[in-house]
Amino acid sequence: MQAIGIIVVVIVAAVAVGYYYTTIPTGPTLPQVIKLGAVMPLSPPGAYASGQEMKMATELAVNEINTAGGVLGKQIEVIYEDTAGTPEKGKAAFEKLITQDKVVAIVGEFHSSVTLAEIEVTNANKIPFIVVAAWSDKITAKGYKYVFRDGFTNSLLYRSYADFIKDAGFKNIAVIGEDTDFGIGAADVLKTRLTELGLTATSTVLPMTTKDFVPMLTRLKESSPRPDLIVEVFTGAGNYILIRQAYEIGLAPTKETMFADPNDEYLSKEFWETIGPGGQYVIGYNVFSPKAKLSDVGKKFMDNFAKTYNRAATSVTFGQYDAVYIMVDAIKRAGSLDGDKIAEALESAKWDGASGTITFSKGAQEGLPDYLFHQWAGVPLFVLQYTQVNQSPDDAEIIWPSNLATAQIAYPP
Amino acid sequence: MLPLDPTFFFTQLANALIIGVIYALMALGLTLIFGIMKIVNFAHGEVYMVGGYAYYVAASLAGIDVYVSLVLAIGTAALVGLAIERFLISPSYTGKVEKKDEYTILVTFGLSIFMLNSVLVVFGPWPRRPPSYAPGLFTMGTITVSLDRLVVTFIGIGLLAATLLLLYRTSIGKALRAVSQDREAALVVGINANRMNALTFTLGCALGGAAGALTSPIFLAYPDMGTFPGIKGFVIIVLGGMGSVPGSIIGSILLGLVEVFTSAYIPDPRRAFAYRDIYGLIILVLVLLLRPSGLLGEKGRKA
Repeated sequence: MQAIGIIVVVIVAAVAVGYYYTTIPTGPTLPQVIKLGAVMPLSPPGAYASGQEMKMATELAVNEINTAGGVLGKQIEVIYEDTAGTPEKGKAAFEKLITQDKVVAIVGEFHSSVTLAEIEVTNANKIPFIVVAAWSDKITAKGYKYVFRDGFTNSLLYRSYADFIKDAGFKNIAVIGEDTDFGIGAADVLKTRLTELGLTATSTVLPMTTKDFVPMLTRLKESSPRPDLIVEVFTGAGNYILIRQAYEIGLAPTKETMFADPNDEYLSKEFWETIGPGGQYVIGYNVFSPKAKLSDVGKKFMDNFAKTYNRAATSVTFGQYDAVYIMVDAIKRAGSLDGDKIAEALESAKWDGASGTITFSKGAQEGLPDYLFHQWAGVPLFVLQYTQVNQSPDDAEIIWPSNLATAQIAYPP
Repeated sequence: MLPLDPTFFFTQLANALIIGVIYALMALGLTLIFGIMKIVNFAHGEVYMVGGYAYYVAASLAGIDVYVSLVLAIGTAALVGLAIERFLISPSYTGKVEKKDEYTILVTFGLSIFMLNSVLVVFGPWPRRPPSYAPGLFTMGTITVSLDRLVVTFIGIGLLAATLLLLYRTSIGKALRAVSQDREAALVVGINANRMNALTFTLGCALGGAAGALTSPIFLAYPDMGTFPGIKGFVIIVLGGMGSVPGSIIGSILLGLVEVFTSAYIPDPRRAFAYRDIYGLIILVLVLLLRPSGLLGEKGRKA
């Protein structure tokens, strides 16, 4: 009886394998499906929550594109790779995607340290890569032909953020960053720019694993003069814990010291779940706001995302969604799967995406700073403030830039 | 600027003791398992995580009273510990595997990866915050600490005291210590060493789970919440003296004091905060230089 069972299993398996191999494409110029790689952190020590959101946005975009007929008459297949936030895993993932899966292009990434390792692989193999949410200036400043970015760079975001801080009238700012390529770079840009603007700024870099910020926050509270604004550049669970602890010890947000969280965590629903009433009056940012004019594509994406995944779209999801579309559009205009042709098509891209009309600037060739090479220089920035507990990012007030502002900055009583 | 202000000093002292007690809870379970069974449990951080998530499920999802939830969470961690011991650890001393030490290292290491990723799949990557044990602030004179931390510290001290009583004032404790000191002699006088192993592992995991459940309202519950405390636990074990229970408690408090007071008083604030973990390790190196077997360690590794 058992022998018969085993024989049946073997036969079924053999037939299945045979069927699989006979359906594999043999030789035409275009394969059956066009393979794209999507990379993001999906397990620790990476920022796996943001990575999961990026994966969701990829699925949404690819489903839409495939339903509408795919590209060059083919369906798109996405191969997801988890980098776990570590450069060596990211590098291995890229090598696998390129040599084994034979993807034609790659989109995604969240951690700068990982991206810096990956762009070496993608550039050497001539595979176009749109970086979405890794912000280190160095990524685009290297001037690599196959590397593009449709999200912020540290300088692009935090120089503007420093302008907001000055306009809002803060004088003495404490910057707290995590010890990663992103955090160190961001804290540096903020401190430098704030000092240039004539304000007093200190910056402190802490290990990314820090869970107890109380000793340091107590010290800030007792220091004189006490800072009138704390700006944190921290990702993952540490982001929420820092705000919560600042609130619990009565440091910020208060009349004397306000709190700014210009990070993606500000927009996720865990912000309120984990911080509670301490989140009221916290200042953040977003790349879109329904209170300002949102493009039709952006509105449709926001609604679809909320409907499909039961959570609000965040800035990384906008970036990832657009990156998939821009890459597919470039493949279409190139009419080929050749890396050089796709990269050239990306250089002339002009895509009406969810976050705006996306083009890539050429850095020094156009007299711009080197981090603006193959970079979308027009990523929108809205400085937001939660004025109520449990407020959704869509209802948060826009407090900067002033021409789009819906309210003045609000202080706790 | 700061320095000799008494409010600042006492606030930081309170912080240091609170952190020290939390460290002690994490380290004690690990110490018991190491001291009595001579096993390094690499999955201890994940047991801590199980405690945190069990508390979250009971208190947030099922809406059970926070203190009942705490007991349930400790019970869950204990059951998980018992299961791990029965199914995965016991082969190492019942003669089913040849290389005992390598086996336990590999099996607990693999288990740690398995547990972490299982939680990632089941609960998703988003951090969770279970309800506080006692919301609000506690103010005494000019010192203010969050009530949550204070309550957690007192419960933690209670659990530590109960464990010490069990070890030093009961016959079970005597048997456990006997196994730790000389396994074969303990067998000769009629102690069932296998049962003591199961008890040790269960107790150790219950303590780890308690630490996770107690700290999850403060430091949140998320899949890799146990990774870093796990590493701290190993540092404390070495600091305290490889399996010495009082040593691990003293080591924990010492580590809490060093980490908090360096953060508070080193003049350059950037160095003070950024190198916090390094100051703890400097103490470890110093202790090992002066007392190579740790603070209270002895050659015989007594529990």
